[in-house]
Amino acid sequence: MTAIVLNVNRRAVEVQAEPRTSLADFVRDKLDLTGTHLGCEHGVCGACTVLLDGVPARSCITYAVACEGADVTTIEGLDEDEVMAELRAAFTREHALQCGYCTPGMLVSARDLVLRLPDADERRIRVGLSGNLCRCTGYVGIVRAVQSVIAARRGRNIGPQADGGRIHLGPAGSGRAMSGHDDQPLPTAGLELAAASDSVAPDVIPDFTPANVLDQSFTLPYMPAKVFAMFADIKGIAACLPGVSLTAPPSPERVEGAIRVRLGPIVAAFEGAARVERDPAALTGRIIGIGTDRRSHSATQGDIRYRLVPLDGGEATAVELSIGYTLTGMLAQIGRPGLVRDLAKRLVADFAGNLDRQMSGAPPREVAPAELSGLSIISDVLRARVARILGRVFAGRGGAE
Amino acid sequence: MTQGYKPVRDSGTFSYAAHAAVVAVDPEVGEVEILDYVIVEDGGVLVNPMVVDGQIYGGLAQGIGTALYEEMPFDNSGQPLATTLADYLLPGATEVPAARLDHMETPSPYTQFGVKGIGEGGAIAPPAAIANAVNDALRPLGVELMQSPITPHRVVAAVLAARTSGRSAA
Amino acid sequence: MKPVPFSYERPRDLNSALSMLAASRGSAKIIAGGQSLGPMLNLRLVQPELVVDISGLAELKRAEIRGGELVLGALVTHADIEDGRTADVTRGAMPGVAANIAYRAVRNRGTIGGSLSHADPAADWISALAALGARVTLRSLAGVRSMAIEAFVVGALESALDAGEIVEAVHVPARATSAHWGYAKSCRKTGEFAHAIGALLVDPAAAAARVVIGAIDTAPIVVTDAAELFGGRIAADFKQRFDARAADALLVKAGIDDAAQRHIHVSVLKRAVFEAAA
Repeated sequence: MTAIVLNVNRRAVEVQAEPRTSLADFVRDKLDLTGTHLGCEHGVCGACTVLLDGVPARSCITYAVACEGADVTTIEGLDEDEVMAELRAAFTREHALQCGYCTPGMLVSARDLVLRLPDADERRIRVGLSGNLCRCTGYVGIVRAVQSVIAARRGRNIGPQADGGRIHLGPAGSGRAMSGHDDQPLPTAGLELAAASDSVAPDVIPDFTPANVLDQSFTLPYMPAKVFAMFADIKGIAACLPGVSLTAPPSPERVEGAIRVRLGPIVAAFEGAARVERDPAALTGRIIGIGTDRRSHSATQGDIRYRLVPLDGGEATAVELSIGYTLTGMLAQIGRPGLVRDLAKRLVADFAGNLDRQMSGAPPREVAPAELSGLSIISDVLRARVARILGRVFAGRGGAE
Repeated sequence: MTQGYKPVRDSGTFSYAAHAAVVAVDPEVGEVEILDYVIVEDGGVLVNPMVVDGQIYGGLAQGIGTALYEEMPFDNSGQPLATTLADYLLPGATEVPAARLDHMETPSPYTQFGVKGIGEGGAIAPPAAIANAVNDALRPLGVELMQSPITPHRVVAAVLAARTSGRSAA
Repeated sequence: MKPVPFSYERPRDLNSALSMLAASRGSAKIIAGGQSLGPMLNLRLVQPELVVDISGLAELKRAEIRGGELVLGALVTHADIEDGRTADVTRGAMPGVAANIAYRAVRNRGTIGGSLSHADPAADWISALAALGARVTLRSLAGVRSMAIEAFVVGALESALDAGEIVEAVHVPARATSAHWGYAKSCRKTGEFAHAIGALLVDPAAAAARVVIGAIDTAPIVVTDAAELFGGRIAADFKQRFDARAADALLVKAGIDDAAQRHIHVSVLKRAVFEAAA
């Protein structure tokens, strides 16, 4: 817990909260200002919109601790506001709400529009409200209400608010904290120090139909037989796959290990096992694996098939890869499959490069991002956790959060 | 004390409606814009016309969502693929037009005052009205879409398929 | 959802931020406006041990014209650019892009440096700034380096930032008076991430053009010498000379195998070309 000091509805408050507490949860749970509503909690629906240093902001994806010293105005703090009084009357008159869930955020966004864009036509009003979802009204009454307030103010010759309501550069709500505010780093709750060492490798690895299949190929300047032999060296192959580490000595048919992949800030470490099939006559092979990532509660199944085709009269080899995978859990449910495909393509490119270097006797590329070097980063994280736990124990403030 | 009202014949009193849509479709980018939308609804005798209008407009927005935006895809193992509002798209203020609305009031013979059910009455017809309008716009290209939501990708894929197969008159 | 617990630090200056980042050995995340990281934290897609909040650092909130180019600190927000609180050397191009990023409440906190660092292929700045010929400066304890935007974005959510390094500033060159600007994007709905972006800066007087095809699920296609898209020559009639097939070939080369997707990208780029010619 950290003491967080804010001005909420023109009142200075100091309340203990965790750093992960959103501004919305802060005003709702700590201050009982439940007029701020939480809908999606990922910044899309707009129900949680409040004023932060006078301008609209999403309170669900803004952490209270990051607003230290800022002025926060919730719907409750706008009771006496003259623009809001006009908007409330117009919303009532135009039947601009049915269930009312979106209304506090809608009113905060509407007030900003009225102040900032006194000449807005219907289209601009609709664009200005597009970040606040309403499931009941079809926006008809809301748009009419905002239009009527803008028209009335135009009739009174009220001009636009200067500077869009802000003078300073940078994120609204930032830069108001006492400079050099410096809390003790807090221990993270729920550490699973032992988790990485427990075996999660399944005994039976079933066949499956992959949800996504990606075909890739690359060429190696070696004879097919040599490449096929290389593919039998599971340790060697694993060393070429970015982020892969083995957790048990491999057999020709079975391998246990982990793969750590990073997609921007998203990091997943899938632990599991794979079964290996090879057909020397056809120069083909198959690796079917299954793994889970405990942090994100996601799981993956992979089916990698390779086929080696002689090129240049047998002097070189085309490696034709078919990579099938299925993701389940949180990581699968953000529907941007293109991003995962891009990651898979980059992994295959790195794999091909490393394989080529390994076969020519050079070590895997040293300039590979540290994040992808698997084992080293995992042990870094473990080291940091051990240090943190020791720090907590010795400081005698276990479970301080 | 709370009092309720239940008609003697309570198997439901249905309102009737007709929806008409005028749309513009960009066959190259696949975007659909609703230019005009008219609803005529017969909800029997209107007890509170403002609330009835609100229900119909709100239903229209949901129907537009069904027609053009909202989709709950699953992969072949049953994994839901749109679990956030960044993936499952709800229409916002710019996606819903300022529809025109008119009423007929044919009283129901089975209820006191002649009222009929009207709750979110606008939600059912929009997918059909909008899909028919889109297909009418794309008819010269030999395109007929049979799946909602009508996404830009589905429109363009269908237009390209028609061009390749020579169905297009253009 | 709520994020997993994390520790929080608010460094007093850029150097202490960089020290915290270096000391964390990869278990820390920088947060500025939090408009991309916030949702990922809340959905528990990202679970850092430490969040280093740089949003208060005054040294990253500068905006000035230096040597004919605009230098924007990483913490300048989309709304700052939209409202003209920063100078503009692009004759309206950047304010126009800024005004159509997500929603006003997001633009009030979302920063240009954060958007670049996140490197989402569907976001506006990586495409728009690449077309404008902008560069980024990156700082770590080891020093400063500078690179073009097109070199900075490596892939989906993947930038050239090394561990321990942050985006310090964006350098935008002045747009020549003879240069035309076109920017078009297609979004399923207002404020959503784009599924196609076309951006171009064409200067017939200099016979030069930069073209960007963005939102392609990986780093945008950036053509710094785009004569190939205009029949081999950039001239005043560039609108008539735009070669859709050449654009399609670039998308094929980038691995976009879905024909409808390519068609949408080419059509959106065409819109941008028409806007530039208007």
